[in-house]
Amino acid sequence: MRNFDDLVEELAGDLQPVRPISPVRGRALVLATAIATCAIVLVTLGIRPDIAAGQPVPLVMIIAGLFTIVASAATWAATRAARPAVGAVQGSARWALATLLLLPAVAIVSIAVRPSLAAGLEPEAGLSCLASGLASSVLTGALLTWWVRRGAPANPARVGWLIGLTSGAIGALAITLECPHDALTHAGIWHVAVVLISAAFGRVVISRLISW
Amino acid sequence: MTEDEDLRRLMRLAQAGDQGSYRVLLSSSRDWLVRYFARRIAPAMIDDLVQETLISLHAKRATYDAGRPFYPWLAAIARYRWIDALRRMRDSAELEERGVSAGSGEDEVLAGLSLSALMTRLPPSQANAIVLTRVEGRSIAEAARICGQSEALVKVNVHRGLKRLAMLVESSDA
Repeated sequence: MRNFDDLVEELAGDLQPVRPISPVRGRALVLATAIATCAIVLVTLGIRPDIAAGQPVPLVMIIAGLFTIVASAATWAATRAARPAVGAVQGSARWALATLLLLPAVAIVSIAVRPSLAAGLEPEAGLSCLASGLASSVLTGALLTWWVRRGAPANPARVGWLIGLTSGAIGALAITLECPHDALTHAGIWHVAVVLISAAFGRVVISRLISW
Repeated sequence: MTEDEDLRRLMRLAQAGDQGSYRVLLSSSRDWLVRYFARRIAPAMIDDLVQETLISLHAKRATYDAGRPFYPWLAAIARYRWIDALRRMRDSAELEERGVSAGSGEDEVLAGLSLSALMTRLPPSQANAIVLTRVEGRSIAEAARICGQSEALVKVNVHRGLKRLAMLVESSDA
């Protein structure tokens, strides 16, 4: 253990001007990343015909809206939590996720009531969506992790989960704008799975990367 | 001007690179941290934790928002370092359970549990096992004799107690 006066001198001697971290810049970074991700996916995989024609299917727009809300709430919370504060816990992302989970819940109930609806799952296409969605999450996840590492999250486990949620929701949004399948069972299971897997990855892996 | 407003001003100047203000800020923070940790950890461990917290303050000074109070920010950093110390205790207990001796530095941290009010929130069997082995420094065999339990059960109680302690701290907004 060092002498306290020596420590103060050492820290003061090392002092350089710093630019305070701003959650607004973190949110702007996520917004830019989301736009870039959607653009890359739509350019490489194409856009849904109904959206391209300017007549989007309402259900698809509702699903895309839910992903956007989850991504927004999680981004807001993650960027805010990058600065240490006692008791600063926001539950909006949790509620947004709970709302999103209505989709798989409805899909499962629908299939249970009418087994013929299971055809809408289209496992092969679903796995392709899952892979595309997870790949589309990487850019946001990497950049937001980098940004949060500059901060000091007081609860890395929670912020890791939020980063995963943000990146997964943006990846899911991108593939929802591209995926030609209309069935609720398909989006409710495969597209939402992108968000859940990404959130779990954030909780387990990213949380360790942002510890300090 | 309140004490917190003074520190906000000093921290703002420190973020701009003013070394004189930074020295004053670090000294004031040190006094506050000593009081903060005095209620949470053994006296022998306070200086180490205060220094670790000040080093974290230095490394993370860009995360301070000059528009907000200073002490809650400092308290969040202190709490993070405190939880980190508790985790090290828990990990050390796990190592001992596997037959690997803990390093001397970790032994010192383990002694830090003596004053924690959180001990009262543990089941008596776990609290006793921790006090006997970690605070009073008795061997597992001695603790087992005193508690009238097997050595294996004492080890399990120590491990579970430390784990629960860390969880209690993490789940609170102390």
